[in-house]
Amino acid sequence: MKNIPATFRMSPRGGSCAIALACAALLVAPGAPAADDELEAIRAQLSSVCRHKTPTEGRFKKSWLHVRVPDVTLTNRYGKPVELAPLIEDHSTVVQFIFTTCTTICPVLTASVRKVREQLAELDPDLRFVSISIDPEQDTPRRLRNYAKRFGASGRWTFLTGDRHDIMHVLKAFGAYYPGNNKMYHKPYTFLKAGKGSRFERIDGLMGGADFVAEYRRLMQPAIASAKR
Amino acid sequence: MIRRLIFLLAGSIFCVVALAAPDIELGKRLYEQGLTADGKEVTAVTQGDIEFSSSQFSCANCHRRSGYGSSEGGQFVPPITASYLFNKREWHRSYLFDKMFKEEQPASFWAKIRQPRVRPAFTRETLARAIREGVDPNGKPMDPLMPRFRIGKEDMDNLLAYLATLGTQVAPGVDDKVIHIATIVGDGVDPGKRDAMLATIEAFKDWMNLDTRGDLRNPRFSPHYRSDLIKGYRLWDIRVWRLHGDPASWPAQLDAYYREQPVFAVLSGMVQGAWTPIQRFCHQHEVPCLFPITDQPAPRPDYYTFYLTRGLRLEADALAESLKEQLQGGETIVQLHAASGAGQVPAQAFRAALGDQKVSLQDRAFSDEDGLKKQLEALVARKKQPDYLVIWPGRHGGEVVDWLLAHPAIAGEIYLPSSIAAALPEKLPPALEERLYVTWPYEYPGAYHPRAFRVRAWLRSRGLDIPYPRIQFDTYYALTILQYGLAHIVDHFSRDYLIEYIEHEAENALNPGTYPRLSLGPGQRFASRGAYIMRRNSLDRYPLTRASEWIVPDSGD
Ligand code: HEC
Repeated sequence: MKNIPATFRMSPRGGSCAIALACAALLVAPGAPAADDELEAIRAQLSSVCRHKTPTEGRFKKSWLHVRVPDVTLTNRYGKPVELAPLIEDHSTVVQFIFTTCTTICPVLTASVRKVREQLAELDPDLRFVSISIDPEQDTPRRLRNYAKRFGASGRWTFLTGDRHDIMHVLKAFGAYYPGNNKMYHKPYTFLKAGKGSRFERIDGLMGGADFVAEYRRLMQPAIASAKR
Repeated sequence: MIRRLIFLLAGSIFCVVALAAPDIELGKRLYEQGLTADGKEVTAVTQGDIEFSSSQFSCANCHRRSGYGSSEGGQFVPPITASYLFNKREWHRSYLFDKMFKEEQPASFWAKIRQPRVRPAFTRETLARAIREGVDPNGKPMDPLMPRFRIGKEDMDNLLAYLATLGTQVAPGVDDKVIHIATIVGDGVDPGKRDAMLATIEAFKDWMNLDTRGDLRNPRFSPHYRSDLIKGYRLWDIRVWRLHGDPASWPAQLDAYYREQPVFAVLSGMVQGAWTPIQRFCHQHEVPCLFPITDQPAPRPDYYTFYLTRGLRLEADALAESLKEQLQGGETIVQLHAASGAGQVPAQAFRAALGDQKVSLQDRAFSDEDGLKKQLEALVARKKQPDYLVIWPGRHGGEVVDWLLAHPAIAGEIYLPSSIAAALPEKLPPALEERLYVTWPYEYPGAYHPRAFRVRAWLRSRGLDIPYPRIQFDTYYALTILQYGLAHIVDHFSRDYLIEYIEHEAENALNPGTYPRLSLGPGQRFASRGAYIMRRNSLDRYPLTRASEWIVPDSGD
């Protein structure tokens, strides 16, 4: 790292990567030619600071919210009761609202979790994934099981259904209730929380895997993490 | 060696021939199920890096079976019917109109739809490139939500051949002035109920047509963009298809009616016995069949028929669900049922739903009045009363009620289906009242639904009596769903598009208050899923009151 000027190390990501790379090459070139592995290290460093725009960048909105998880007991895909509050409050969590017959956005939401699940679990072994059906009268445990299987769900990924009124309480607690009283108008939200507590980041929009991981990484940074409670 | 060569040569000629003639049916399968010609799942990448395969989703998921696209949670999926793809993209105002006003949309959605990128008509090459690489005909990357598909040449040819046909068929039953609709009534239904349903339909049709005629006379008069939508306006022609005799002969009768005048949709309707032959007819002719008044839907729904509930199967499942909570083991349940469908179907469902409870469940079937009498006498003669008596009386509700009035203490608890509630007299012997329960797949009497007032007021304003509120309200629901659906599809008279609209919008504010909630979703065919167990209470303002929560049994399908 010795040859990289400080400005590069701190450089925010952005469009000038190409220039930066060229400069780095120049900087390294004069004097003693750098060893290959040294160059490699520089490249790696640079590409981590100035990554390319991801395909879904800027396509979702972020906001913060405190969630008081209602004291409800829902049902998981094996038909077992699950108390929601302890599941969510005591752990890092990713929460999404889905339903199994939804055609456009839920499959993409669910597939995005499947995409990042292992990577995030490595970053944060405490992390749990929770997908809650907003169509509980249709989505029996059996249907949730089929849905989860379709998306290759495994590990700490809980799919929940339950009493309709309980689920409406949960939706309202997350500020995710949909207009027109029609589930077809639900929004593509993902709620992220690193660690215990009640403060979630709400993502409104569909994220690709790269953005999903980047968002979660950012949440884990100490400054953000300490502000979360 | 030479033989091998010839064989290879022949094989490759065969391949060339196969490639030369794309298979539209295989293209359709690829579009709807994401399967390649050799039955493999297609894979793709969405959102830049999310891999998926077609068991997770396919084109039809987003662009829908009709090809008219969808909007869900602010994500706008454009139509890709042939006429949209192979023309320069310019949005019809009428199309935008309903996308914009039906749903609250985020700003990004509005921005997108207000300033659509103009793009030239697709060619085969640019279309294949869009599907594989997500690049539009201007060379610009498309929205990352549109997946990038890995599709080989042969499959792409099939898919393109199918896309070239998508939305091009003109559905029968509609011309440039009139849309034809049928309702179906069978022999032997209650004439009062039938006429109440038909009168509601007739009044609604007249009311619609009056409005439509007025608008057609003033095409340029344009509050709310009417002049844009006017090309979708049609007068309603509603025919009553009467079915006679043995249900086995219904298919031929229905075919004859359909040949005489094809209809765009079948609405409401009432027959004695199972709806199955009519569902089959609708499936064969690909006619949407909207919310018949039946307690015997076909055992398995299919794509074209929407039901209000699962009928007697639902009542039986809900009853089993509720009894399971109180059974301790060792009880005796006698199930007395008619041998007809209305007895057989719920009796079987009840037995199946009760599962392996450790109880003695005894079925007693009867096929006529005499048989019923014998069974009832045998019940009275039993040394020990059963703990539970469940009766599915079919058409013998009246006799069953008379008999219960004479023998009120025949069992610990007595369960009857909702159809019998109306046959119960106002005053019941206390011994009967305290042990009688009714399964009730409807809203409970006295529940508040703002729309119920509007529906009642509308019926009154048309000068209609309301002898059968539930039947008339349910009919009104079917009528308004069709009205809104037709307004939504404007002049894209695609039956699939109508069905997609109903799936999408059934959950809106049209519930006339006959059910706690009506809701559907893609692929869902029963709008209400639960039932109450009710009891009679002569002291209450409403003679039927709730004895349970709303029970939503697992339907097992
Ligand atoms: C996950 C949802 C989704 C799936 C699945 C999907 N699409 Fe799309 N498609 C979209 C979206 C969103 C757009 C709009 C892209 C844009 O605005 O840039 C689109 C656009 C298109 C367009 C361009 C339309 C135009 O007028 O420019 C075509 C053609 C198309 N899709 C074909 C297909 C085909 C064929 C399949 C299946 C092989 C498919 N799509 C599967 C979401 C989807």
